[in-house]
Amino acid sequence: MSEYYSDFLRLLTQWQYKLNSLVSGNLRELENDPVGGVLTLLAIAFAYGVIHAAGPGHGKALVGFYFLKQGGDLKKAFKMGYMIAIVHAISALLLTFVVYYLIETLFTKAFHNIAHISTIISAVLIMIVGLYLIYEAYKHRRDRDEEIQISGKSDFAVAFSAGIVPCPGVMTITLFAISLGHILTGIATALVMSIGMGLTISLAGIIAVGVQRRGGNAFGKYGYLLEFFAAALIITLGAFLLLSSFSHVKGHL
Amino acid sequence: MRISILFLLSMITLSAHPHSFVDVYPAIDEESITIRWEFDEMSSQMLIMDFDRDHDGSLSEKESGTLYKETFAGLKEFEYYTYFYHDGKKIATPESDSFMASIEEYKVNFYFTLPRPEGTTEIRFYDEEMFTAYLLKKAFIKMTDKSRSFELKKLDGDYFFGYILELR
Repeated sequence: MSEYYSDFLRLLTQWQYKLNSLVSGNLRELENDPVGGVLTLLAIAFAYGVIHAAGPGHGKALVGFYFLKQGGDLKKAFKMGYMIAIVHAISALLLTFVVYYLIETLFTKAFHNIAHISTIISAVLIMIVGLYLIYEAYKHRRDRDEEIQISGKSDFAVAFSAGIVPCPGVMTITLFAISLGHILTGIATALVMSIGMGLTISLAGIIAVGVQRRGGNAFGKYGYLLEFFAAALIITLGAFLLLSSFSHVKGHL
Repeated sequence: MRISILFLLSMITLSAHPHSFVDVYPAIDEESITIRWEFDEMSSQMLIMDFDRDHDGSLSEKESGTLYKETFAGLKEFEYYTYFYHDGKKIATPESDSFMASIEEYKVNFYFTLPRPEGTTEIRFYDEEMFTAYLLKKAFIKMTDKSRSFELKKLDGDYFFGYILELR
């Protein structure tokens, strides 16, 4: 299996490398053909987003476990994917602008520190969401004969906790575009790339919804067990994320 | 089916995804291995903004020195993502004894030399955490040690990929 998985990563990486150089090349050549150039760029950025989010991270696990617990439908999965992508894009855009215009430090260092700090925040938030979902599952078990109204609050909490880590890919593209003077194109590229990522993240939700429907039915009236299990997975996910953020703090380029 | 399993696996792996891409060009002679890292254009631009302080499109000795101190020196701890093996057993990567950085066609290049430990039969290239993707092709490799030939193989980690350069 590990052979297939690393082949899969190798392929994803090669595609991303190709798309990444297409984006940088097109941004550099933008003066020659502004309209066609921007359209080509946006198309590439969309594909880059789809493929980029297929790799590890980007809140797919959280979305998966969340829908495993909560259940849902296609619409909810898409909504969640896009909420995460929007938070992801906004945090990346904001931080890139802050780093570029306001902070006097090395970009390479600033990017690394941002990734580190936001990962810690995200990990803590994910654990809190997990604890809240345990509480919900407990309530669900207690009142299982009644219809439970699930509030949209936890949807936002999930999207926020997963999306708050800015995507370094989006940050790098935005910074590159600003540095060449293409500020608006940079923002548009970042947004379109995030739309692409939203699609992939939604797919994680859709898969989980499918699993939950089958699993939920199989568990019957003990469906709440699946809920506890999924909420526990979310807490574990947050804990692992926190641990991993402390294991390697410096040294990467 | 296989694709969906891989997608599920990618959902639960936490390791980072690469946002920097580096082409690795190793040149191997009897005593040492000289490596050129060519960064992708976007990462290069970030390094250029950080270290080409006079914006003249090249890195002076002083600028290259600052870059060394701020970036490359810290990579010793990570063995420069270059790992030596003797018959399947890992040998500690020696400290790099030369470093130079340059800008060529919008791309930043790092040149550095590592002494080749005695009895090296394999050199592996990877970043376990996949922050940076180090990519190697057969055509990138230069062998000036005439007593040896080489073969490039894939390295399959659990959550990463890399390359094995086998010396024969």
